[in-house]
Amino acid sequence: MRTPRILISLLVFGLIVAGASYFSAQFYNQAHTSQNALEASYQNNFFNLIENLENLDVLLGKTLASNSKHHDTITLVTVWSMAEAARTNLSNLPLGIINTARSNQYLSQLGDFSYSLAKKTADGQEISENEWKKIKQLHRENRTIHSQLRDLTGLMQEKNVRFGSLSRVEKARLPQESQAVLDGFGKLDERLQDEVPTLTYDGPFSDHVVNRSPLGLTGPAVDKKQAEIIAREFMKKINQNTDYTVTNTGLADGRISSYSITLKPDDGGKDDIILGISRKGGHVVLMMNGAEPAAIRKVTRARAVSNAEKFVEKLELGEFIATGHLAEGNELLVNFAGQQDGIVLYPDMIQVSISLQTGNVAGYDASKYLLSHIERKLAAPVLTEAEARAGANPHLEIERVRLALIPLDNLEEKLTYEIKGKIEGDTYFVYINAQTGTQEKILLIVETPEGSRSI
Amino acid sequence: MKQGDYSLKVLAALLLICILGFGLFFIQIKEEIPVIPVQGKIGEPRSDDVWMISRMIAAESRGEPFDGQVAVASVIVNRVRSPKFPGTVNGVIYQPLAFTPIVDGQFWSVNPTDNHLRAARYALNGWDPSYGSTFYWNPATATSKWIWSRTIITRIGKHVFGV
Repeated sequence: MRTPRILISLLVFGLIVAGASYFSAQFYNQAHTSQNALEASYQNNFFNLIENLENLDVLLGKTLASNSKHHDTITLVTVWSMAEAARTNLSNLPLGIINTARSNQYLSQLGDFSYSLAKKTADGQEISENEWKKIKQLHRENRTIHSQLRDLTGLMQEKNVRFGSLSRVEKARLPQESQAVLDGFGKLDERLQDEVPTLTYDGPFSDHVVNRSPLGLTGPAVDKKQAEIIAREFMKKINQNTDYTVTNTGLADGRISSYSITLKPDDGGKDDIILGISRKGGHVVLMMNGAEPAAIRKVTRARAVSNAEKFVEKLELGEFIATGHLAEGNELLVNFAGQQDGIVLYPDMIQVSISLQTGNVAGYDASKYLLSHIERKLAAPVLTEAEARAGANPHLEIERVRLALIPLDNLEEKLTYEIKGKIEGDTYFVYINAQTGTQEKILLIVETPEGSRSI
Repeated sequence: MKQGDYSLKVLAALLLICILGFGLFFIQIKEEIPVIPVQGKIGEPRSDDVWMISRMIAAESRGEPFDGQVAVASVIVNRVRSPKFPGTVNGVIYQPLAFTPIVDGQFWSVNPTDNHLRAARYALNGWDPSYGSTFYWNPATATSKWIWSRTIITRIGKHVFGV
C-alpha cells in the first residue's frame, strides 16, 4: 500500500513541476521576445536619429555654400522635415525628459527656423548675414551632437548596454554601466542649454513666441479679497438668483499670474465653480462649472448662441462677433472675436460654453484675448474688395468677403480680406493681405452636424 | 495510513497552488487586452485626442476636482505646443517613461466617464487651469527627486503643477 502512494505523489509532484516550468518557460520566452522587439525599436530610432543628424549636417553645409534662393528653399524645407524626423526619433528613446528636453527644443527650433527661412527665400528674399551666421552656429552644433552620439554608440557597445536597461527609473538604482550611458545623453542635453543661440524668427517655436508675455493685462494689481469679489460678481452675471461662497482660493504663477478661486452657489447647488482672476487688473481669465450638464437637450442651438452673445455683451469688454460654434457633449462652444470698425480681430478671441440643458453659461475662457488684446490703430486697406476677390483662386465660388485682422505664427498681425468660398462642396477661408495682395493663409472649414471647425 | 494522509495533504496543497497559479495566469492575460481608440472621420481630428487624453485623466486624476482633471489634460496640451516635447498628443502620451499609466499599463484598462471626456475637451479648447504647466506630480507618491527642481505654478487637489 505504502509504495504506490509515494510513487503516485512523486509522479503528480513531478507533473506539477514539469507544468510549472513549462509555463514559466513560456512566460520567459514571451518576455524575452517582447524585450527584444522593444530593443529593436529603440535601436532603430537611435540609429535613424544619427542618420538624420548626418543628413542635417550635409544640408546645413550646403545652405551655407549655396548662392541660389531656389536651391535654398528646397534645402531648407528638407532640413525642416529631417529635423522633425530626428525629433520623433529622439522622443521615442527611453532616456527620460530630464535628459532630452533641450535636445528636443534644439531640433524643434532648427526645423522651425529653417522653415521660416524657406518661406523667405521662396518669397524672393535673401538670407541675411545675421541669419547666415545663425545657420553656421547651428551647423557646428549639429556636428558636435552627432559626434557625441557616435561616442555614445561606442560606449554602449563597450559596456554592453541596451536601451531596455535604461528604463528602470522609478524602482531600483540603475546598473553602473547604464547610468554612465544615461549620463552621456544628459551631458549632451545640458551642454545645449549653454551653447545654442537665442533664436528669434518667424515661427511658432521662436523664443519670442514661446516666452511671450500677456499684452491685455491692464489695470492695477488686485489682492485676494478683491479677486474673490470680482469672481462672485462675475457669477452674478450668469445667475442673478443666487449668491456664491468662496470655498478655496489658491495662487497660480503662470504666464498670466492668477488667483484660482473655487465657489459654491448658496442655493444648495453642490458643484464647484472654478474661476481664474488675474492678479494684475483683476481680469476674469477663465471660468468652469464643475457640474456636467445632464444629457437632456432642452435648449436649441440658436438660443444657446444668442445666450452667449447676451452674456458677452454684459461683460463690457467691447464689441465682439460670434465666429463659429460647435456642440460637444451637452454643451455648445461659441467662439467670439473682437471687432473694430467692422474689422474682425481674430487675435482677440474669447470662448463661451453654454449648457444645452439649462441654456446657462457653463464655461468662459479669455486667456487668448488677455494675451493679445491691445489698443490697435488699424491702417486703411490699400486693396479694394474687388481687387482682393480677383486675387483669390478663380475656381473658388465666393460667398462672402470681409476685413479681418489675423495673427501669424510669429505673433505679427496682418490686415487681410477674409474670402469665404466653396470648392467641390467644401468651404474655405482664404486670407488675402489687404496691403500687399499676397495670400497669407487658407483654412478649411469642416461643417459637421454639431457645428463647424476650422483646420 | 498516517504517512498516506500526509502525502495526500501535500498533494492537495500543491494542486491548490497549481489552480491558483493557472487562475492568476489567465486573469493576467484577460487584463492585457488593449482597447483600440475609435478613429475619427476627416474633420474630426480631435476625437482621437479627446479619447486619449480622457484615458489619461481616468488613470491619473480620478476623484480629483474638475479643475484638477482639466489641469492634468492641459499639461498634455501644453507639452504638444512646447518645443521641448513631442509635437502630437500621441507622441506626448507615449513618450517612453513620461507617464506612469503607460508604464504600468493602467492606461489601457481604464474606462473614461463623460466627465473625463468633458475635462479633456475643455483643455483642448484652450481652458488651462494649470496656467501653462508642462509637469504634474503627486507629492505623496512621486519618487523622483528631480521633479522638485521644477518651478511650481500651482497646486490643485493632490497634484502639484509646474514647468
